[in-house]
Amino acid sequence: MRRAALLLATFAVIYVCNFFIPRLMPGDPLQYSSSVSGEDMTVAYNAEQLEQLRAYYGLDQPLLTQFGRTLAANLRGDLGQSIHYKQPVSTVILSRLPWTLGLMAFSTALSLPLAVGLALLCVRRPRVDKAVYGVFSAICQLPPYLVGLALLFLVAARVDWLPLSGGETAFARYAHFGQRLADLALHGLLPAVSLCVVSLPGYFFTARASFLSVRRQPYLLGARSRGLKEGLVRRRYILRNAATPIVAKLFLSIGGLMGSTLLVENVFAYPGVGTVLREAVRYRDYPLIQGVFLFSTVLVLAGMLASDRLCAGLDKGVRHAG
Amino acid sequence: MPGRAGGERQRKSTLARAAVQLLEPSAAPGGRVWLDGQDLTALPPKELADWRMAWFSICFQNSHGWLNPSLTLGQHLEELLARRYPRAGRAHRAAVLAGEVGLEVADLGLLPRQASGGMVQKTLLALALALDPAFVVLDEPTGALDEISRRQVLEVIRRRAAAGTAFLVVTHDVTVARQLCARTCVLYGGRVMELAPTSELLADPRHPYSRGLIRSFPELYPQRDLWGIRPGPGPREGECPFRGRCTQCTADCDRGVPELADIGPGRQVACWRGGIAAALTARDIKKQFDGKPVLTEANLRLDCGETVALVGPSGIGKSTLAAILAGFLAPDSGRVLVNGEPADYDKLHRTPGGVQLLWQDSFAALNPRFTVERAVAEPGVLAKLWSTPQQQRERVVQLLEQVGLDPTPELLARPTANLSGGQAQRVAMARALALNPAVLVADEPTAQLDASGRANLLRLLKGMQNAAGCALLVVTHDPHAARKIADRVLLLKAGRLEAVDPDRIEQELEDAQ
Amino acid sequence: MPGKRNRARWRPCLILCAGLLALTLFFGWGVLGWPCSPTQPSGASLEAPSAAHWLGTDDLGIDIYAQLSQGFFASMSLGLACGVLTALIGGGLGMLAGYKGGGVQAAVDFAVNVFLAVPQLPVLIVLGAFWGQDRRLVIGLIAAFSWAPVAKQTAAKTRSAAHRTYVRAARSWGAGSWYIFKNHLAADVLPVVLVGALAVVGKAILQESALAYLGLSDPTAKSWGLMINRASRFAGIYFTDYWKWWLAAPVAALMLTILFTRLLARWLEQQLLEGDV
Repeated sequence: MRRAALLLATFAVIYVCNFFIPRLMPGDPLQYSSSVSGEDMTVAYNAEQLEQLRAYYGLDQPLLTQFGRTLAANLRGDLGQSIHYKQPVSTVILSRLPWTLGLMAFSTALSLPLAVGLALLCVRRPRVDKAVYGVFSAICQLPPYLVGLALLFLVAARVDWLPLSGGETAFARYAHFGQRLADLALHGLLPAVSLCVVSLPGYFFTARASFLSVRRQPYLLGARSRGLKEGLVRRRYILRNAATPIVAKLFLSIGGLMGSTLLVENVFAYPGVGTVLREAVRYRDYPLIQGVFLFSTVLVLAGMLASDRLCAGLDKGVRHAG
Repeated sequence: MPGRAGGERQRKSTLARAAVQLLEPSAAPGGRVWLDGQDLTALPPKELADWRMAWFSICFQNSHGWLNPSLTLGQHLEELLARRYPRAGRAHRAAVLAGEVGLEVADLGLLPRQASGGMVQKTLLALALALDPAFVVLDEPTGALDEISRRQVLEVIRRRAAAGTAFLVVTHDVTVARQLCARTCVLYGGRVMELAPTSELLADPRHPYSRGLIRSFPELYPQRDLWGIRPGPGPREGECPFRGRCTQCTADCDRGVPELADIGPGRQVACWRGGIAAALTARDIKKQFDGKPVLTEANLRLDCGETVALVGPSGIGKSTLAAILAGFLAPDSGRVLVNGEPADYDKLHRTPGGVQLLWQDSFAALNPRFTVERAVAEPGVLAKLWSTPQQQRERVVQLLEQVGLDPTPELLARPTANLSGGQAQRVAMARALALNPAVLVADEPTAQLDASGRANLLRLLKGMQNAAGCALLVVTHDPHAARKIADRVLLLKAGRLEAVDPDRIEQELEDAQ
Repeated sequence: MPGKRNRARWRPCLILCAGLLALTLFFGWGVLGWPCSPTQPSGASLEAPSAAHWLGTDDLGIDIYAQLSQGFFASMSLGLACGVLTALIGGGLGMLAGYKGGGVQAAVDFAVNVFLAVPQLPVLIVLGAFWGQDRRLVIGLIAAFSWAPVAKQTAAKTRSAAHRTYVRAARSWGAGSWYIFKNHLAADVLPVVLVGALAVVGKAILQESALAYLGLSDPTAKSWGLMINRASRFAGIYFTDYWKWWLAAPVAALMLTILFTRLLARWLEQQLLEGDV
């Protein structure tokens, strides 16, 4: 409960900050931001766009009124109007969201079982453990987009059956659903693998620590003393009892995975939220940037809340049993 | 029948002889002695000689030297009896006297050098009683006697006393005083320190010297380890004679020799502080944790220079009480007085003569990165006791020697992390002693030790307390340790403290659980 | 025997430091002794590596080694600045919270938890979009989102150290906060801050490069992220040989630098923190 309150407070703080960011810039934020020119980011809002932005931000109103109106609008699901896409921000994000979520799910489906399997192996084989542990602790901070780039020009550019970019083959007609799925998987493979490389060490370390702690429990010796089959012991005793921290870690790493996904999508021009974000950045599409930010914040906080619930539930269960 | 107790060379015998006007003129006796209203010092020597043995007599400390080597024991008796009894009755009278003090008639024929010490002693007693004087001075009357003779002699004295003879017993033997004397007067450095009914004196001495003396008798404290009064400078002119060894003396104690003053019915004590002073007094200490009362009404008096053990089952709140008394935890209510004033622990922790805590785990109480010298010097450095590095070094060396460590340069420079367990304890003790505390609280000092380590630590702790003269409160759950080192044992039970007979600690502990 | 063990203990550190030193020297030559300018074209467009251009040139004919060298110092100074800032903010607040406890601790804890819960990259993107053109602001932003874990660890360590018996004893003898910090806490707490700050150096370089890759940093600075950004958006680069020097060089430089700092931080963590538990 405490934790939930904390997360709620966190969200409130983030929300308020998000509200104030464009209003804290010196001078007229719109004038200021439209005059900034990055590399090939020539942004000049036309009169109509400026009007739109003004209307969205309501800069001529008193601050409290502005806040009230923004809050009310956001609660209705209205995150403002995207300048670049000329659509409501929520529409833009929702249309791209399945891609991003799908990519995250795909990479997790790759990395989690791999990490758990490796951890199981390492717990039993000290020599493998030493090697894997060393390699993972070296690569666990590699930036995901670098891995993506490396994969792109080391692998994708070499073989012709792997697409270099995009989420699916453009204008393709599929004979059946399976074919479409194969196409999607092929396009998502490299982005997912780069994400997987980056998130693998985190899962691995958690799973390894969890297995090691379970291995020290007396009930494991008890199971062996009853002559249970090794496979059964591994499934029913080790995996089941070590699962909770691993799942909690899964939820906790949503934030990091989200950030990595946003970056990796850009490497592969994957049609998810990340590429939208980059477009938004390039065109200084502020409502869209803030919308993506709010959206990812909610996702991350929800992940943390879920992880807390899970751990709390486990603790309660243990206490109940004891 | 007053007895006088005192340690060696406290001039008991001198006083005894002065009482019967037997001092050499060179001793230049002053003062006066009255007996039944008659000033003995004013009597002319001839008259005094007539009164001797008939009205008052003295029985000297056992030695052949008091007797004429060429007269038999019986001849000594008859010589004296001749002053009152006709020749015919003398032999009979001598035999009766001999029987009274437990001498065989045959023994009377022995010359002093043929007689045993016990026989000589009995003869001296018989002589003192021969003419039925009203007042008898007995100087160590049982010194040379075996147990049976001793009992006989004491019995004689008791019977005579019941018949109306007054005795002044000079002794350093507390059991003699206990068995014979109604009142006891304690001498030190030629001065009376305390005068009190004997039973009260033994149960509750009020002068630091009497207390130290009485607690040094294994007869009275069979379970406890033997510890005497700490050595120190002897009496000096113009101040309290016990000052150099006293555990509660203040700067004021050199203002002169304290006079005997009344401190209760029949009790007098000569002490500038009015007898033994409380180093720490706790009244009605209450403390609860999470609504659960731990201490409901803890009362405690810790006298200067004494060792008190606080026992109780685990988890009863001993450490809580120790932390409160040492000033590391505030009680919910109640008062703590230190040296008679409400305790201001900020000051007490930081100044000499205050309160210090000896922590349970000595390794945890030492910063592993500090050298021994730095660790021992830290309290003094923080209290700004030392103005020069030499002063600091000297004091550190002195403290280390005090806790039994050899202060080599190597040890001084060693990080405390590299000390052995025993050394760490000693260094922790040196830290606690650095500010010369008046009260030292030790919280479970032996908790993590094996039997040998426990024994070493307890001896060290008690020895340190004895030498430093501070009041020591030892918190322990070990009844045997408590019995060994403590002068008194307190039991914490249902949030209160009660005194426990050292022999019954185990039962009381069981009851408390 | 102890000397031998000591040498073995220090070997990884020596290797890593030597690696970092070699990188610094290599790129230092590129800044101080290399004739080509990092901003002006000095050759033809997209030249392959040669004696004149060790790492070739980019699409504008600018020498890549010179750019890379400047980028190294830009990245390193940014990383170090972020590390120092993090150490100051995170270490300071953490020590304050751990030592004072009570309200201060609750306030810092709350701030730490908020900053830990915020998804870092999106927030950096948002703030970078509004404020990211100024290098100093980027440093500030990265530091602002890196101090929380350092503060959390420092506070925990300070709290545990400040509750040690010898600290309580020293306080009872009248030791002031500064004395206690200097004599009893510093040796325990400062390594935590140091390790945290060193980890931030690598992370900051990485985050800056990510921002630059998204086009959210000072466009005039020759940062590695920006180089990667431009190279990777050069149409059809994967079908030519250009990526071998234009793209691979900054990627390799970035990976190597981050790997060294990361391993150094990890070694330090093992030596300083796990040793005394």
